[in-house]
Amino acid sequence: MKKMKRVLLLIVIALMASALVACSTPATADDNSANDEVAKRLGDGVNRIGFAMAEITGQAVQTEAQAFEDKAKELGFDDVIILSAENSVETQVTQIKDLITSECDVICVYSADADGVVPAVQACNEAGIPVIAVDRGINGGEIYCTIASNNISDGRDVANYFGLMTEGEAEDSVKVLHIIGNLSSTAQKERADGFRIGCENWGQLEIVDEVATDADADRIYNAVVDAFKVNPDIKAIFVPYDQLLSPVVSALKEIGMFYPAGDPNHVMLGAVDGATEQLEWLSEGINDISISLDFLGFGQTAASVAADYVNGISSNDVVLTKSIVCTAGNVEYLAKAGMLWGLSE
Amino acid sequence: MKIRLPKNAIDYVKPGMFVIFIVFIIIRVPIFFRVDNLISVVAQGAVIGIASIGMTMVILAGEIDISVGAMIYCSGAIASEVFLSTQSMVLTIFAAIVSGSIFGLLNGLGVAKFKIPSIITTLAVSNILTGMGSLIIGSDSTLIAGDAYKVISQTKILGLLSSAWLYIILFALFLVIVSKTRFGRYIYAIGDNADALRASGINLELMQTMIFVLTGTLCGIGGLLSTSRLGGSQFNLSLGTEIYCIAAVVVGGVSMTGGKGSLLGTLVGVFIVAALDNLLRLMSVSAYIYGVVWGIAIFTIVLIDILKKKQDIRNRQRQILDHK
Amino acid sequence: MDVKEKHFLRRLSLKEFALKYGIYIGFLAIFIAFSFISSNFLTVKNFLNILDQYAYYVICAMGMFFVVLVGGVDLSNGSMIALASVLGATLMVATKSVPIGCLVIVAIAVFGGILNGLSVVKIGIPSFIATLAFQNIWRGSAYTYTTAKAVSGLPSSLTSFSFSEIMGIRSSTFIMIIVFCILLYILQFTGFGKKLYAVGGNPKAAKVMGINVKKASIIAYSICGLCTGISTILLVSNMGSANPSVAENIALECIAAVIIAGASANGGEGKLLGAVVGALMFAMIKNGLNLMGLSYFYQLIVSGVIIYIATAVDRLRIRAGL
Repeated sequence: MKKMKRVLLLIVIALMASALVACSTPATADDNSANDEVAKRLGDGVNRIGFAMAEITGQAVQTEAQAFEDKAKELGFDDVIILSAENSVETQVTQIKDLITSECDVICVYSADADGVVPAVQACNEAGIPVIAVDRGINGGEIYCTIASNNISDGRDVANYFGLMTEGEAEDSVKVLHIIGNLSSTAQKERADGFRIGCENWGQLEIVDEVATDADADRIYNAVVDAFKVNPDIKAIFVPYDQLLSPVVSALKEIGMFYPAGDPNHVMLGAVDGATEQLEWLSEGINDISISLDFLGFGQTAASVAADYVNGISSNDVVLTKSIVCTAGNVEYLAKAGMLWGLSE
Repeated sequence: MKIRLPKNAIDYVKPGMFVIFIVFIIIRVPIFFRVDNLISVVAQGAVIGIASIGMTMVILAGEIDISVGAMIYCSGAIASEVFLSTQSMVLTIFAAIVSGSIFGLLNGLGVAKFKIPSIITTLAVSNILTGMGSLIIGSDSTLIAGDAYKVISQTKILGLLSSAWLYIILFALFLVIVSKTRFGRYIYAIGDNADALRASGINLELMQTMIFVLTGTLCGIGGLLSTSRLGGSQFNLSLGTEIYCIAAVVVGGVSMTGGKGSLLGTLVGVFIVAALDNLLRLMSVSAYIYGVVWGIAIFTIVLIDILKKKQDIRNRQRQILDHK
Repeated sequence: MDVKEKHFLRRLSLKEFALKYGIYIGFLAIFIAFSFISSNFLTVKNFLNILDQYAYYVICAMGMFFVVLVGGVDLSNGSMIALASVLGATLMVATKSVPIGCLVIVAIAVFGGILNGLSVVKIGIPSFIATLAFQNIWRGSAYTYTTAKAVSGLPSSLTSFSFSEIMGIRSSTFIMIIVFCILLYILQFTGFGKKLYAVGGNPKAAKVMGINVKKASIIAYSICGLCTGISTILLVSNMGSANPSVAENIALECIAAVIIAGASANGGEGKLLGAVVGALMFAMIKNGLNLMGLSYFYQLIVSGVIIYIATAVDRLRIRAGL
């Protein structure tokens, strides 16, 4: 029995060791040949690019991922790896390190936390792989290029719109409901912060409730129903993601508080992202404002900056993208001008 | 000098706490007792309640099911997809129930046939269904099935929503099944002493599988209701419901080791969990501290319940000693 | 008689063989499958990488093993990591002293473990519910304390620790090995270890044998807390900051890792090495799927299928042996 155990253990160890040796030898040979070339160009050998995303559940981030993949493939990358950490920083750190192991030429990071991924970025620096920060900056390490948006100002823009529309009302008279989505998502946190800052600037806006919902549509629905029992005179609702507005509208309809824009009883609805359904709603008067972020641009710019790097073309350190305030008044024009990812086709 | 509490102090804690709590609610959130709020608590608790019926059976049989949320999510996504493409109510209901049952079968086979501990089986199935549900919903991240789809859960009958009625009907049905039929007695027996049951020649595997399949079926119905309420499905809808279900079942006095408890207890548990959620919202508890309050509340309720049970056992032992 | 005895012995060894090696065979199968699919998987570098990245997770799983051994579960360890890391990190930022911060982190985590133990063992609340309540309480406290923001600006010596290596092997790996050796020693070579197995296997019999069942169980929960504390330090040094939303799903994964590798869900059975192998198997699955570049939803499905099949095969083997 004991003998058998030992024999088996030995066999297993021998198998693993031989496999390790067998597989690592050719790999080093490849490395040498790669080092012989002075500069790598797209099209020579296998070009791999990695994109570590904070989350993938949502139309906006899905669009970003798809745009990135399409553009990268178009520019000549053979292998595009897109990983999602679902808002977990430690998962993202391991995923970035896995992308290093996968020998990516460039690694793009939509960080789950601007501080938490810094060591992973340093590991990329050590391995000599450039890092492109997409959608959100990273607070350390050497970043080759930052393609930045500003979630804080996006949230603030919605508050400003609510403020403008109710200008002249008495102090603290406009009650606002603030729905909190997924607490672990940094985008949610930043947008919420921006919205709070914005509300403070307008004396008449008063956030009467901030509800935890885990971004679960069912719980948002309940939250809206319950909030109106306590404050039947809520005049505006803010949610961090456009698509979380659908349960809000369903709930308003159930409790009979749904009035289209223009009606004096209308409850203003605002969100960030610029998702297709919510942009279409703008013209129907269901919601009032959506901030369209350039999700197509994030993905495409990241891919082209990466391709430029591999081809030896330098890029700017920071590429700013624009967030566009969409309301019923301008949404048709913006869509025609092709400036909205949500209504691009 | 020690302060002596009366021997049965714990007997007074539960009703005492209850009274204090009621008074607190009346002062702080009088809205809670408004009829329309109580009705909406029932509606809010319907999906958790329906899933909790299954969870009660699973826990009574000494197992656990952490795939409930994912089953609701995935079957809901399938149901809204079917409704979107066929516009047929019958087919939609059929799809929800059948898909839920198949997911339950996957759990049941894993636990009964392959002898995988239920926590692992259901974790694996939960992963699979979360992935599948998201793939069905697709990259738009919402699946809009239209207002006609809302009829299933949002029709008002005698002042109550149809989802609440469905919960009441299912609850009554399963109350009979669990307390009056032979199958019900076997559920208790499995949790109490599976070996004895096996020795008596009962097909234990079939029983276990049945319990998980029924839970899946109930989750299928839950998925139908939760998506119908919103008129479609969304990414991550209802994921994590199992936590509320387990809390409801345990708060309702069902023993986690199986064999002890009742569906009626779970009914109370569901109401407490749904009401707690509702109260915390009505009181505008901050999103950050929400979990703290929720955790302390559940802990306290279970704590009092357990202390009470311990006291009862001690009293009984004392009585026996006195008789001797 | 002689023949019968031999037959009996053979059957027993077969059962034991299956019990002991089922998981290792599964491990090997996944290992081979991934090495065929991704050329970067089967390299020394990648394995050192896995050990480094998942050291915190393996240590958590080892702690969980003790709790599962005495028939409980600990759902609160992920939230504990979040709370201990934000509190410890704040202290480190304020005092610029890494040792004090680390001590506080471990102290908080052990305190959490003891609290779990007391609630479960002394009061008698089911471990699933007690630790579920604490899970919510710790997570909520971490969010409230930080208003959901990350704590950054930690002393650089902490981050450089995670980068330090000896003979190409990262310090976290060494810590994992040291923790493993100590815990293994406790389990295998001390009376306390034997007591734990007895307590988990049959608490009533253990009590009759004169073992202080409650004390032993509470110590098991505190060991879990200690492991949680150590893994918190590794995680904080690995990220150079503390985030209140960290380690959200770690509890269930640890429980799965422990039980997959032959430990009974009811306690009293299993080997510490099994927990480590189970955890490393999870780590390997994640790593392999990442290297394959499989998208998130497919990763969920594939990992679910692997867990299901691997455990099913393992348990079928046990039954076949029986």
